[in-house]
Amino acid sequence: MASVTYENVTKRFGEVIAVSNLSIHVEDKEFLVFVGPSGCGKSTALRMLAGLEEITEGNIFIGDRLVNDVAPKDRDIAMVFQSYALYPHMSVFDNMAFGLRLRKTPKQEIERRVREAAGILGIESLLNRKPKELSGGQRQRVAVGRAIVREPNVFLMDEPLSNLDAKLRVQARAEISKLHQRLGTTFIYVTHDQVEAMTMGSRIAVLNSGVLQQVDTPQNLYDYPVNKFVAGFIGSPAMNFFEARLEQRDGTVVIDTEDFVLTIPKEQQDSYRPHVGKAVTFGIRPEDIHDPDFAPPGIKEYKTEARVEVTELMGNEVVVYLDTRSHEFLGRFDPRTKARVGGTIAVAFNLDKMHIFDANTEEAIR
Amino acid sequence: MNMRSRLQDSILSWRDAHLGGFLARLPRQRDKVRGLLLGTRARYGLVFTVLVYVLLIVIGFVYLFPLLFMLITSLKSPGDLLNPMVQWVPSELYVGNYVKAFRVLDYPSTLLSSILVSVVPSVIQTIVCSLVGYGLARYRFPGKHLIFALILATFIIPPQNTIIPQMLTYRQLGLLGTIWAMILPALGGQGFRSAVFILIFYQAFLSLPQVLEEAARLDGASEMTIFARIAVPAAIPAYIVSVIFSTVWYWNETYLTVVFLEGGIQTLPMQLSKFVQAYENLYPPGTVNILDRLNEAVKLSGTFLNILPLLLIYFVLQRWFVESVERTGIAGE
Repeated sequence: MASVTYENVTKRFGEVIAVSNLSIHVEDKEFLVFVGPSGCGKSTALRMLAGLEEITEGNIFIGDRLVNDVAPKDRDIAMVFQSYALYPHMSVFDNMAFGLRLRKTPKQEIERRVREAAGILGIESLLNRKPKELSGGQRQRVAVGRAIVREPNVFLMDEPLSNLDAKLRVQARAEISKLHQRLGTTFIYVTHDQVEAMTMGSRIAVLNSGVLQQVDTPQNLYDYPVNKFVAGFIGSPAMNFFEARLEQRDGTVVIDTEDFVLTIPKEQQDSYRPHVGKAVTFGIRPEDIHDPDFAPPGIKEYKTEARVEVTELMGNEVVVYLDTRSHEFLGRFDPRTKARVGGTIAVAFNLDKMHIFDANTEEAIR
Repeated sequence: MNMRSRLQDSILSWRDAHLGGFLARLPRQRDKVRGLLLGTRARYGLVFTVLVYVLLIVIGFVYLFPLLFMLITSLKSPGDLLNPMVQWVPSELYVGNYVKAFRVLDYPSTLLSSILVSVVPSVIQTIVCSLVGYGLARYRFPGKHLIFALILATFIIPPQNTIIPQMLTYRQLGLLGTIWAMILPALGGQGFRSAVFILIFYQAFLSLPQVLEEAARLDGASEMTIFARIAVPAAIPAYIVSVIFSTVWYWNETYLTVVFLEGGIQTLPMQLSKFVQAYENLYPPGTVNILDRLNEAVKLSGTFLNILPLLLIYFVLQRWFVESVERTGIAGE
């Protein structure tokens, strides 16, 4: 069992900076998820920890040990790759036993560990098969099994679910979470899928263009994004943004979006007063936009009108594509809503849940 | 006029009554016949299939004809040879030619030498070339392009241009006339057409996913273990192709073997090249029966005995061979 620490880690590929000055501490037994769009440096960060990429600057510690110059095999880590990387000519058993054999583990011990891992993953009946005779989901389990038998200090997973179909992915997600609880080992997981990150991670690190944006629990990340990127990346459908300006009218601070002007709730007036005159981005999540008839009671709401462009019935809700004159946005409405395509409807913004970002720095203003 | 139109009507009604079904089906029948002849989306038509088969049979015949001619002539008795009526079917299966060719070639000992001179260097060449190909495919190092260019140069420059300095060097080293003159170059990656095999392995190892190597590295494998346990099993087709091609090329090679082995070792093709002389030593023309004089049948028996081992190897390995050639993307020589 071990913690992991990145200390001012930078990785350059020639001119390109893949990871820039990354500092993060992963607690022992924690499930940390690196999330971000393609090319944000999340895989590179993981691969540096695995020892598959050299570190340009900075230090990486596993536990108290500096591992910058430690060979991958001596770092006591196991990794599950996106493509699973099963050895095609070996049976499932041999794939799982390969690492143990190279470490000269006694035969009975290998047998015991492989059978045990196969039991946990439900792949006992597949042990004699070759990888090409397995389905995608089975291969993924074998790849996880190969990591389990090593009994490593840290588990690394590089988008292990991205090759599975949607249904299987949901199932495998839960299984990996269960596995984490059962093994009680540090997990570091890389994904571009924010749903995976939200559902699995005990903490999430959001990366963009090689720079760490925010590390926090899923709920905090969702409720208090530090900047516009995190706000837009976490949550599906994504947060709606309106270009706007903070202004003072009749002594109160308002947000002017050109299409509508909404007044900031009384309690928050003081925090926004110093920013009056600034260009800002007003953000609100689709679930915080309601049909006024079905808005939750007791919220501070601001009502405006919008045209309904498209509606998507999901059963438990309707995703409504709305249009004011110069802004398009999404709302998640109660299915009883009377919103009809082509019609105009009143919409209510829940101002308790609004976000305001500086338009230039994109940092959150609170 | 009226009568004519009535007649027309009656003809039309008769046609509809008796031929209606057939005429209605006609377009469908036509489509069916067309499909049968010219093919449909699902299968080739008869015309195309027949054309392809004719073409394949003609090409096959061109390749098989010399072999067939050789085999049949070698089985003809002297009587059949002289009989203009016997063309393709000998009157008896006469193995006397083979008995003579067997003796003339000193078959057991030359066969063994041939195997030694072809199989040993080819196995060594394959192993060495696979290591070189692996290094070029999987590692980045300065001068790689230069090495590539030099390897290509060894392939492009004909061996005739380099054979004299090579021979002189081997002489100084005391290698001429021994099997070492074949083995040592192969060991140094300079066997017969080694460049081709290096490129085959380079290509084979290039297609090995990087991630397998990384997984093995995390599993604790050393560079050599990764090569032996991960890369080699993935490149088995390349190994099969390489061993077979290399063996055949070494086997058929007489130019280099004559120079380097200096007669110290007699291979089958070398012995075959002086077949007439060897025959006449064994069966002096003045002393033997006219039927025992050297004839085409005996010569072709010798030729057949020369290629027989290769044919046997090919028949045994052909399934893997064809598969491997397909997988490594090498079509023919």
